[in-house]
Amino acid sequence: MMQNSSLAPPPATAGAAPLPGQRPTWLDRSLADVPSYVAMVAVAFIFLTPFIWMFLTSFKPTVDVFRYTTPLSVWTFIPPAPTLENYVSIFTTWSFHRDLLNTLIAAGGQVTGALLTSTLAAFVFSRMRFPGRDVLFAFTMLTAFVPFDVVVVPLYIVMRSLGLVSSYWALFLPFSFSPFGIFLMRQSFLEIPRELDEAATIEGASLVQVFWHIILPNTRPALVTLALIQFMWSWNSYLWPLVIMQDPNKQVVQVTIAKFRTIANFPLFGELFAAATAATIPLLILFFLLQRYYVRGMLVSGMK
Amino acid sequence: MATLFLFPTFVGLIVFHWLPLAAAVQNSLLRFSPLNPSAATFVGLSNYANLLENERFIRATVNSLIYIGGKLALQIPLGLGIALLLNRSLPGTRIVRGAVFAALVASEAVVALIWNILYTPDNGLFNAFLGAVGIPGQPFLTSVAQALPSVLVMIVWKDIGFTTLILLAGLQTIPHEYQEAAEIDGAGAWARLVHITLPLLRRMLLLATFMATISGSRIFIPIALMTDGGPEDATINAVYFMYEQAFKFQRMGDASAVAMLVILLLVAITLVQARLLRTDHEY
Repeated sequence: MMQNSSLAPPPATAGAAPLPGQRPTWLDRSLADVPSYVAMVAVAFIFLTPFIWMFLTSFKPTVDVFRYTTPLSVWTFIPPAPTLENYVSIFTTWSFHRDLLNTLIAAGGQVTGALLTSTLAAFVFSRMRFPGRDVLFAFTMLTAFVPFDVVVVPLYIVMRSLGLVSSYWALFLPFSFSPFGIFLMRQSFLEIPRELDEAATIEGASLVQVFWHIILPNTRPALVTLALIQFMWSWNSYLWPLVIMQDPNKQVVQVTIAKFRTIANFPLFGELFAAATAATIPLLILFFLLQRYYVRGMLVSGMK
Repeated sequence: MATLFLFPTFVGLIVFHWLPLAAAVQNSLLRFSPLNPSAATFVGLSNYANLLENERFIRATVNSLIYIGGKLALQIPLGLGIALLLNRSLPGTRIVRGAVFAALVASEAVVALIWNILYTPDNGLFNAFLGAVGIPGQPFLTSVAQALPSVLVMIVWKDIGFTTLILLAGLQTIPHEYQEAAEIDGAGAWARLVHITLPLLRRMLLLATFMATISGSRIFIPIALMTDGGPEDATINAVYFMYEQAFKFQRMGDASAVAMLVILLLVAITLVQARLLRTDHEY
């Protein structure tokens, strides 16, 4: 996806610009790249350091978390006495695996729900003709512009009148109907030539068969994209589970991690680092493996 | 058939999106505690009137504007700089891209908690770095003057990947020949940026500006997990004020009125931005 200029070196964007009419030599080009490399090292340092520190500190006992920070030395990062006690503590004393499982249930529910409703609705909006269709589509898209924070309070009241407060359903049901998902899936359905499903229809395929055997198999990348984005939204949500989940046994990881700051008389920093690492590293690995889909999804979700 | 396919989606959208929105409009006209919903009384616009006289709300709204403005001022230029850097195919670009996107993928709660510890005045990592270059320790989140900028820096760090992503996508649609032609004509790097790249990037810049504005108006987690709005209301914003009204003080009417005012403010700002950044030319 990066621009690849195999014929000519890329133009220097910074540093020593050659005089007009004078052809830059290879050495000039390389020197002109030095500022870029300095900038790249600085950017990588700024963005990676907190993660590296979080990861390494999760192997320090709580008493060591702040002990070696000042003055700066290798022990600021490297644990002098590496230990797994934080991880043992979060998984035995605090049952963090249950929070991870709860988060997976919530994310799984949201991904499933969004895939199901988005593809069905997108199929209607891309393949069927009936009066009022475009009005309905506009209505659907308008929904995307309601900021979630605004509806947190009344949504809580809706969930309570449905008797769903503190249920697993409450964690994912409101987000299983996604205007973003409908938009994304409709775009990708529209790219499938109509001739393909018209031919199938002539051969006697029903609408459901067209949907299941032609449309869905041909839009796998879009399905993965939507699943990934919904998964991330769900995995990282904090405010909604905080408000709606009052049963600590069904709470999600983000809320539990925050509790380590205040759970006891003094903050459990070691546990906090271990939990933050356990909740972050799997997600980072998943997204690096599927970066292609993720980038596309984020671009489409410019409307989020 | 269409009805059958659309039915689940529309039930969901109506119950979980439109009904709550309508309820929010209605609630903003009520005095209303969720502990005793049947005792709700109609108070007209007095929730709004009270808010406009509430100094804390005014402070929160001003801070919301500062967060939005600060986010735009930092995130768009820095995000553009990183996008320009990553648009070149130098070795190591992938690592930098991965680093920036890691911040984007990580959860806001984790980032806020980790940064909270990084900001610790006495033994925090940031002060350790400052100490290493001879700068005395800073109070960061515990100081009225530094708390809001400290929260802002964390938010920009977290969100910059999104701006970079959008602008990088835009940069990659600009034909290479434009840059090369200008370079042959003797245009320096700065002239090429101002006269070729930025005009061609205008639509993506508008999108990045919109997104940064919207996310800047919705900052909640960093405030809830780092400062609770303090010290002395230095970091409070409208969304956090709304959360407090609703879930700390059980004043749903006031909270809903805040929500309506936030929407109005946001619509006004984005309309102005659309006008300022309007594209006259399609490229």
